Amino acid sequence: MKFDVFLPDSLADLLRFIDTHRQDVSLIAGGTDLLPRILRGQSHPKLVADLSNLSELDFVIRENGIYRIGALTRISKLANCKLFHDRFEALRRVCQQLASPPIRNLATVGGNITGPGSFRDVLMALMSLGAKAVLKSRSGERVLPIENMPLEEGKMSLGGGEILTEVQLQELPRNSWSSFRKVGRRQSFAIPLVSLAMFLELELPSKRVKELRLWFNHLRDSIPKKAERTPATLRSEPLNEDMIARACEALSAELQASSDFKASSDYRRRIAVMLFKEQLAHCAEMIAERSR
Amino acid sequence: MMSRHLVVMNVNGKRCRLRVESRERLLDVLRERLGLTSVKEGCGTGDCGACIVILNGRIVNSCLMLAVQARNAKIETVEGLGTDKKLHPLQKAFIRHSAAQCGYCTPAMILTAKNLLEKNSRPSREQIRNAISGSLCRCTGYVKIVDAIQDAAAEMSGETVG
Repeated sequence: MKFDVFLPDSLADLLRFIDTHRQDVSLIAGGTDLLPRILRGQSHPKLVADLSNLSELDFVIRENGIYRIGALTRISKLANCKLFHDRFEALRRVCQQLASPPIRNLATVGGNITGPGSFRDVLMALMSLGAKAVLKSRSGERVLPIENMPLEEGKMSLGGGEILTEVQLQELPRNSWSSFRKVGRRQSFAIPLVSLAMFLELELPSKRVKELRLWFNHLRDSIPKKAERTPATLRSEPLNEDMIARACEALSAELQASSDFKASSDYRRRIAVMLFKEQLAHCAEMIAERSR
Repeated sequence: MMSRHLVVMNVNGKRCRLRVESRERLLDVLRERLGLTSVKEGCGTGDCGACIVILNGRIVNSCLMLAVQARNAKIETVEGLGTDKKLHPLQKAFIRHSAAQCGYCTPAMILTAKNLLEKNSRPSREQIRNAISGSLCRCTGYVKIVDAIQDAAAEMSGETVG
């Protein structure tokens, strides 16, 4: 492996460099994706731009009711972010469980979203929370819902000369909760068999489902997929066991899973439905508890 | 843009000034250039944790960092922990509990434990297991490692160790 490293002094410096060299540049921040890929011969960059010292992209702040997370924010920092308090459980949980402690100290939010080889559970949690992505280039800035961003081989597709600089989260509605759960064969370093990120908003006191967003990952690959049809089955009346049973059937019919050496497609689908049922109860319980 | 970079690091309390290649990893520089062979290469992809060092107060996989990314960093390895004549309490506890067999994971385990005890002087067994979950040991089965860390924590907190 032979490449040159560019060390930008500022974001403006980096954008100038990317604009000049475009396709030839690989970005490195945490390094948890890029360096193993180089070592395995899967990536052959000629130019690498090191973002790790760009402190202007390392922040978590609340401004005008919006939570702004810099793309260089380490996963370990988000896992214990006091600013979130008890909000965004889906994001906190995924950050607490990602890979291992030393990797969480290196890996960044931006890397999980735009990197070439990560498992993208952080991206999935952000999708469930309705996050927005801020993309910058020399010619300007655009803000887009992360859910609407095109994914290429699972990573966010950016325009030429563009980089992800931050993600933004709105304050969540009062009667809502989010959650994340994954099932793997061990607690640390598990390549999940299935993971789920959920956002639930209820009307109280009726307990009617106002909004339900369901995202699954690892059923077929490491590209998050949204369950589109199942949420509608829960909207007609207050949450009850019959409805939930019908929703589980709908989910089982909707999800597409594949078999590999870790699990069969049928097992994956059953686990996914079990997670859905469990996390729906958890979110509903948290909403009820917070409304007391 | 350069293929060689001047990097200044503080390694185990000593200032090091090195010219490194773009492609050199922190692991390579620590082992090959500075002779700190307690830092091991296992998988080279961040999975085994044998290359863990403490960088600016956090444990990281040195195989996943370019050396140039560690410019101006403070780095600790086991070589900076104790001496042959005066071992660190964690090193003594690992010996007492036979918590090392082949020894390949031991430096990373000890650094991880040191980092944990600096933040939490009396961790539970569960907290210890979580903390060391980024390091794989294929010999001991972890029980003795957890025992040793608990024992060292007690000693460092001033309790008598049996």
